Amino acid sequence: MSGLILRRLLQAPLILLVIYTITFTLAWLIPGNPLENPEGRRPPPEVAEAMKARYNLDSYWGFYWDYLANATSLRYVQGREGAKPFDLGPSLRHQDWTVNEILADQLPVSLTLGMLAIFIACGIGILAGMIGGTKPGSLRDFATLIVALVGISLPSFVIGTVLLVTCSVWWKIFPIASWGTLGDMILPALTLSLPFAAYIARLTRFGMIDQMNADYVRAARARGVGELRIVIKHALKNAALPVLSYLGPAAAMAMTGSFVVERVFAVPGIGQHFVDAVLSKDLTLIMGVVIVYSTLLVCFNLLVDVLYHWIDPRITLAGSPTT
Amino acid sequence: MVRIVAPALTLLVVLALALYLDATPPRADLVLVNRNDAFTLDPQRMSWMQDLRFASALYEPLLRWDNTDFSIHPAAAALPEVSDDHRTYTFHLRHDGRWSNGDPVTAHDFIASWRRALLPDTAADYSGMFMLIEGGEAFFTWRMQRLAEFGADLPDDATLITPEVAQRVVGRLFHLLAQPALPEGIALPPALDREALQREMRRLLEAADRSRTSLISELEQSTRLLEVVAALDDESSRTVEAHWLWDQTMARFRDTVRVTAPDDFTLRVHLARPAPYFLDLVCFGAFHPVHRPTVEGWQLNASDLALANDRGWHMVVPPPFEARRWVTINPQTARFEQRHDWTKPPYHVGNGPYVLRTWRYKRDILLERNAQYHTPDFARCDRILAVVINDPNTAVLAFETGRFDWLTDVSAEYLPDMLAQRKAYEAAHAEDLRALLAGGMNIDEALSALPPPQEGQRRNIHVFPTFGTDFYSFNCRPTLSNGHANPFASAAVRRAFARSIDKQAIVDNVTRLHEPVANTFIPPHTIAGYESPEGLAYDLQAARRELAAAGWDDRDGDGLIEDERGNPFPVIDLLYSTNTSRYKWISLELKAQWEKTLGVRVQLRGKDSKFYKDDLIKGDFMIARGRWYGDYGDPTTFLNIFHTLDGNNDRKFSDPMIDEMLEDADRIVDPQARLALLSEIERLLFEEHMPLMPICQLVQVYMYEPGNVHGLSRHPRLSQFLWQIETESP
Repeated sequence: MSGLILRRLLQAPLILLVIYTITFTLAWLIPGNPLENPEGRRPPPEVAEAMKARYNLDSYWGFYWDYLANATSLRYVQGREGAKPFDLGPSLRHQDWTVNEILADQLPVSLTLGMLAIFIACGIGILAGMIGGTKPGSLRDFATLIVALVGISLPSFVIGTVLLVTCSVWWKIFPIASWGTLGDMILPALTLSLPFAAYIARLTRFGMIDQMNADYVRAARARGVGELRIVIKHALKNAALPVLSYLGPAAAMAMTGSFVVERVFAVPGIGQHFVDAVLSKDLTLIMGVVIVYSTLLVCFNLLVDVLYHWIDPRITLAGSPTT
Repeated sequence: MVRIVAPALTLLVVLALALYLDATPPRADLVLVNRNDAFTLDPQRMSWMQDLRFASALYEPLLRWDNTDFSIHPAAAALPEVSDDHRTYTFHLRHDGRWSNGDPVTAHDFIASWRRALLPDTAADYSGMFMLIEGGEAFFTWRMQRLAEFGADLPDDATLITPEVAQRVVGRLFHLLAQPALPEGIALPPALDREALQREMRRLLEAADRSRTSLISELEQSTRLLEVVAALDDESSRTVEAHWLWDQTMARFRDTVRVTAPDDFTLRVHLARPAPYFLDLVCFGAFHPVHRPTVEGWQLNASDLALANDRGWHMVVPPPFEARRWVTINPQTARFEQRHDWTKPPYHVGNGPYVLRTWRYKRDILLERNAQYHTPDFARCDRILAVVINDPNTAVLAFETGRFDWLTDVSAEYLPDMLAQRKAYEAAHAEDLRALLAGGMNIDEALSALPPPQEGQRRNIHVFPTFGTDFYSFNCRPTLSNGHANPFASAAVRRAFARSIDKQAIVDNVTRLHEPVANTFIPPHTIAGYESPEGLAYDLQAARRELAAAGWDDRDGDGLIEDERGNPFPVIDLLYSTNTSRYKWISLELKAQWEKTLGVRVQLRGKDSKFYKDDLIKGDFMIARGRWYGDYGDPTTFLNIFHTLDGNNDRKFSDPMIDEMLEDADRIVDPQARLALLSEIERLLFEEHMPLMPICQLVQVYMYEPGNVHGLSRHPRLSQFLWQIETESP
């Protein structure tokens, strides 16, 4: 186990470097100049050139190495004047802000939203999967199938807008475009959670169908154990294992891919600003978000693998010594 | 079971913690919604409307507009004394002006801020405005040249030395030798003795004083110099030179740019030429003062701090660059590099009626009344919260819930339907409304006096015409980017195309915002004393006649026009940007109208705004969409883009007479004669040359409940002062 963790940890910097290089090259190829407004009065060409040079935008390798050295704290370790640890630079589009400040302010919001969404998704999904999976082919199974289908196929800006109009404008239950209390988070988290909930519901349902026919369940029934107790105490525990392995990537997706939901609900998360950054070629912000997110992803995947092993010690992980 | 529940519980705890750490600020007296966050709160670097709105709250310029008629009124200074030749302005600052940290506001604040705007290192969008000050333009160019030279390596061959390089070499050496000890890492070649070298440099500098050529001849004899230069070209000596260049730059500004402080509360500005709109500029964002110690992050000791607080920062010696937090001199480029952390709390210092309490990236800005401001009850609201909602639909829905007072940019897809509801409301109360307006009420008061709207009506949406024009540019180059002859090089063809468009149909049926149609470039009645020319109105017959006279006629009866040799009119390449759907629809309508009425073929080319801008600059288009907003209250803010050499002349329109007239307008002192000349320029441009086809005056749409928000200006320049706005919300 510890050998595996060590190996994964050693792999991580290499993976991150590859991600950094590929993303940076792609981002560099985006046309345009983040330092200039797309419309309106233009600065004199010499000034524009000088500003490009000031932010290293005139040299691919210059930017590549400089950014890497600052982000990895190499410059700080070297003791360069003005260098700070893990310095992701100023945002090129919003130069009053550093990428570190932006991430510190907005990353927690996206993470909170993503976690809450996954939490809701698990609740809804496992419940629906249990309801459907214990009686496959029944009307209630069909009903959960329909809900799952809607959850997967309706785009989140539609669900989001419908929820906004009904819950906020008509019934005034939840506020709009506000962030800070649990009430503010329910609607966006619910919207974000639905596709995940649908998928979890399907996973649980198949697991349940499998387990409910297993020998140990029949044995328990024969012993006279109550049906509810069988489902929750015995079957669910095994049926939920595929869900758990899905949770790692799902959590990562929920925390990174929430930009549509963030825009619709005006949630001050990093997702929508990342999209803005790509559109305006804000290289420092793009690279900062990519570095932080890919680091998080690598950690999540490792964490889920470890959890998996912890919940069911029979499962050995690829590459770990089989003892 | 525990193993499943434990991770879930951990998740919950983390969630609760995150919620706890993220509290919302209390409701402010005025809550407004911006579509975009402020790009910067640094007035010298601002150019967006929402940024400039914040500038009016956080800073106080020398003078201030009345934003309903754009007359000029005292602010940080009284109205200035103006010399007879209209070139020297003397401002007397009020003595009780204070920065929000308690320092007095002095004339030196304005000089330092304007110098900052003029430095190419700041890359201010509006540095051009400051070139109106005598010496400003020369200073800007001088600094640019010195920086360009600095970037180049010193030549190692004596024959390559130009007078500029020579002066630079000698200056660097002299400066270096004047240091009490040579900086670390710099060693002179062993054969050289420092005193002898110093004598030599002095001799060279004296030679330079006599003439530049004598310096060169002296240098050629100075065999040892290049040896020394080779030994000096490393980072520490570059640092020394970069700082020396900075000192020179400061001195040059002081000696050559004619903005001076005869005493701490008097500011004297001498202009390069009479500019009747100079006082209008002084009210503009870029001319707002900033607090130099804050902008540069000076770290002062207690006694200096006290002195600055008592008399002003100009009384203390500026600390060395090591003791300035936000600025450095880059040894590689000699540039003065500024970090902009100071625009955020807790660092921000301003002299306006408000102070910046919080600023959260693309989220919100909270302003509070400035306790140091000279007139305590000047600002109407105690607290102003500006929230960012980027999604246009969410912004409208959020407004409907009543949490916000003022939506500053309504651009939802269904905006035309909302405007129709407003029309329906006015139609339902037409009689009463007319009576109330006749009784002297303004439109907001009248609307709020009417009964509340029924289903399908609304009164909370408001269209404000702006100081900007939507247009389509004609490429005026003789040949197109593909090498073919350009039919739009002919003014007659441009006129014909412009006159054949029914613009009213566009604003009524395509944009459906009913913007005022424009036949000239400067929105009429926006500049006091300026008479707009007529321009060319929609006239299909005249358009066809003009086209035929230019040689384009349907000779073979196939419905398409040809020239004398039978060549069809080239397929028109029409470029537009796709970041909003507005220009797709307008471009489609133009295509339909031109194909139907003129017998030409039009090909639309929609591009993302970044590609669109590249094509525009390269001249890769025949017709391209564009828009322009004026910055200051003078026709030149619009007309200058038609000068051959202007950086925003995307059409590459060039006419020697127009250039000459524009330059003449700069020399005329009499305001009336000047405006008459500018009006004649606009007439020539839009009745004869037609470098671009104006479509309509741009509008801005606000949402607010009439009767709830007071103090908004309806003048098209749309400069809303946050301190002037009042609300009735609880």
